[in-house]
Amino acid sequence: MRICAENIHFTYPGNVKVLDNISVTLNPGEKVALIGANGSGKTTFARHLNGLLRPQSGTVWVGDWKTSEHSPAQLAQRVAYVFQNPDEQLFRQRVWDEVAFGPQNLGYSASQVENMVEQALSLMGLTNEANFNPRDLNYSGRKRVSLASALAMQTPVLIFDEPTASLDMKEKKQFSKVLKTLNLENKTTLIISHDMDFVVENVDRIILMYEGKMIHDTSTKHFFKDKELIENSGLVIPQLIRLSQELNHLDLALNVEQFIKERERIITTIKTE
Amino acid sequence: MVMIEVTGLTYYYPLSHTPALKEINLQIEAGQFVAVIGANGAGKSTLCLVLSGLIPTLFNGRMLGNVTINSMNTRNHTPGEFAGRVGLVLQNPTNQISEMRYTVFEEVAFGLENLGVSPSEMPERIEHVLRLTGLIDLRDRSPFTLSGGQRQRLALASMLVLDPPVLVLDEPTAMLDPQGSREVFHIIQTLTTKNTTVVITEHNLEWIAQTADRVIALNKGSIVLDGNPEFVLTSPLLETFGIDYLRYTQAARESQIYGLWPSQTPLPVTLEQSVLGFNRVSSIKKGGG
Repeated sequence: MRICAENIHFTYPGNVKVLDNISVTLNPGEKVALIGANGSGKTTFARHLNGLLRPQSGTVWVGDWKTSEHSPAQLAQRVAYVFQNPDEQLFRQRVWDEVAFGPQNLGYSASQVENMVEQALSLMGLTNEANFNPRDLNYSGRKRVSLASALAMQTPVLIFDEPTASLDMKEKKQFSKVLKTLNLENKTTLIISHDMDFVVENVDRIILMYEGKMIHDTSTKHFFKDKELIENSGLVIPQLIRLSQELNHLDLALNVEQFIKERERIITTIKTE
Repeated sequence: MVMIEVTGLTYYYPLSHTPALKEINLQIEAGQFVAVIGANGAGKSTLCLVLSGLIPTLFNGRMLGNVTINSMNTRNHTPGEFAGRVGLVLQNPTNQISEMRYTVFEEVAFGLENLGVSPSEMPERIEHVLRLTGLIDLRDRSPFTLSGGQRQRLALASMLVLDPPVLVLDEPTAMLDPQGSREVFHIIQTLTTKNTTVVITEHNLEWIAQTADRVIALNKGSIVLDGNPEFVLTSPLLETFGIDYLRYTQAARESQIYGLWPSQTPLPVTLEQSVLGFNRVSSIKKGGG
């Protein structure tokens, strides 16, 4: 499902301008990362996509719906949103019930709900914790419950706010797999993240926000070419890209495989010279 | 001088039959900067509670072995007695804010009041740490209106103001953006030059590689690796403990297989080491063909 923001503005009470004329389209099957410093407007923008906030001017389209004409409950059929802090979103006594809450509210039958829940729990590696109280899990466990709750709704659009914060290696790999599956199902996914090493390996397109504006929007491959822009925005360039730059690679590596390919190419060129 | 000494420590949380920490022996010198790494559930946060003296007195559970901090056995002293001697910054700063003070300034003053510091001394100390942690402009704000990253800095400021000889930090940058993390890292580095003993759990391995004196890896409650960053972060075992390699290290590890990393050179943990190693292979090929 396509998401389209047209010239949106948003100012919080006290005249704090947070979104300044944003226009952007997110396409079906696209994995997009939204990055930028704390306070640049990332979360405020994302909250416009599920109707938690409405633009003060401009329009946000979710498919053929304007967010201004639909309630957040209606928009939940199309957009799932995972908060940065899982504790803001978990409230049931059992992991299974928590994950079932979304599909139940969307009006699915009991057997459909069961299927959706089992699938989401298995995707997030929580099958054995189904009967636990979410509060008895550690932080990353609660985080995975909140991710499973969003997946269970099987919406065409998913928004993840800092999904990998406090996940360890294994859990990140698991989440990376989930993103690939969503991609195969042609879902639109938006990830807000500071985890640049994760971002470069997992998205197709990166949008940089700075003081309420989207100042850079391009494919992951091209995003880091403008080194100065990235550093001036307070961001960290991912390790492999920095290494590629230092070694004067023509091709900036997004993952280890690409890096090795470029090294091999260079060494072969040296040998033939 | 040994600042923290742990001997034969095993700890079970209440109602649990699996120990969260198992047979830990550990000595930390004064002024040492120690990073603790491990997969989630490995025992990092529990170790932080042990090293700050909250386990065993504040938590029930069952503890075997002994822990001394600055020669004080943690079994014999209350958390109150460790206040001012050990600073602990929790993973979730919201759990740490007193909820009894209306402004950022007063929140930072709270610890000083409890330690009986004279009111005339307070404003200068408080303003100094607020400036250090970038909170000076928020001094009159309510702690409840702060963002996650700002709260994390407030929790840090509340500990720094007490100037403790030991500081234990549990993922102090989890909610900060890269710029905010850099600022916190900078503050911590300054502390280590002042002979403060720092124990930190942190996912940013690149920074650990550059700054820590020592890295300890935990797996299922036990210490499995302990040494300088180069040794621990390049260990062939790291992956089996569920800990990721730095991308620099991973790239060199896989390059070795194709002869793209020099055979006698240790694996890199910093950008500089990586660049040197990869360039060495290029120059050998240029010279030798």
